[in-house]
Amino acid sequence: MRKQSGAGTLAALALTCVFGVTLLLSLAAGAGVYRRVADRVDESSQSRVSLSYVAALLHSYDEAGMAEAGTYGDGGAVFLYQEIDGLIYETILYVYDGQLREMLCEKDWEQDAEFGDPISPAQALEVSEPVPGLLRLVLTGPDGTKQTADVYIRSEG
Amino acid sequence: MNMERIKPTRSGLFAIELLIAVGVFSLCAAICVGLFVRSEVMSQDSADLNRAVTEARSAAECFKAVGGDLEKTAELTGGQISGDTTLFISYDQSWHKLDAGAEGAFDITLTLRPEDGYTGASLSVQRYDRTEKETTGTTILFWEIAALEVAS
Repeated sequence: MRKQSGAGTLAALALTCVFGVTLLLSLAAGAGVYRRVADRVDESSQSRVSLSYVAALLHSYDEAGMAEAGTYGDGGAVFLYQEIDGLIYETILYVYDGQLREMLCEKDWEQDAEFGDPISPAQALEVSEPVPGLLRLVLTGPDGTKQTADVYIRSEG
Repeated sequence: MNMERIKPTRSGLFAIELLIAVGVFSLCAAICVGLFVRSEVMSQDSADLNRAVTEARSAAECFKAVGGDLEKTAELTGGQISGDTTLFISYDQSWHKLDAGAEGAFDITLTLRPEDGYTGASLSVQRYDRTEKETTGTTILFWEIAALEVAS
C-alpha cells in the first residue's frame, strides 16, 4: 500500500514538471513571436512612413519649378516651394542630428538646421536626379539599412 | 473467487486529475503554437507586401519618368529585359536588388501593353518559394499603369 502511494506521488510530480515545462515553453514561444512581430512592424513602418511622407509631400507640391533637390543639414535635402500672399516660402526636408526633419520658412531665409521639426529617426538622406523630373531618395534608417524611393515630378518631366 | 475491490488512493486520483489537466493544457498549447506560427507568417507577409508596394511604386515612377521606354526603365531600376515587352527586377529575401538574371525570392515584372496615345503596362510582384525539386510563384501585387507622355 505504501509502495503504490509512492509511485502515484512520483507520477503526479512528473506530470507537474511536464505541465510547468510546457507552460514555460509556450510562454517563451509567445514572447519570441511577439518580439519578432513587433520588431518587424517597427522596422517596416519607420522606413516606409518616412519615405512615403517625403514622396507624398513631393507629389502635393508637383508644380513646375516648385520642387528640387539640394543639400541642407547633414546631407541631401528636398526643397518644396509655395507662394503665399506674394511671398515664396520653402519647405525643406532633410536629416540633421539623427532625425528626418521638416522646416518651413521664407525662401533664402537663413535658419539653423536644428530648428526643423523632427519627423522620424534617420541617419542620412541622399537625393539625386538620375533623369530630369525623377528624384531618387535614399534614406538610411537608424539601424543603417538603406531604402530607396523614386518619385517622378510630373510637372517637370 | 474472492473479488476484492481495490480502493483508489488519493495520490492516484490526483495523478489522474493532473493527467487530464496536462492533456487539456497541451491541447491549448498546441493551438496557441499554431496561432503563433500563423501570426509570424502573417507579419512576414505584411512586411513583404509593404516592401512590394514601395518597390513597385518606384518602378512605376521610373517607367512614367521615361515615358514608357522599357530600356531606360531597365537602366534606372537595374532590371533585365526579356523579349521586347517584359522587364524583370529581382530581389533577394531581404529585398536587396540582385544582378540581372539572378533567381531571387521576389520579382517585379513589368509587361508593356501599347495603346493608342499612351504606353500601358501591367506591373506585378511575385514571391517565389524555391525547393530543390520545384519553384512555386505567387503574385502578391498587381497594378495596371500607364505612361502618358513619350520622352524625347
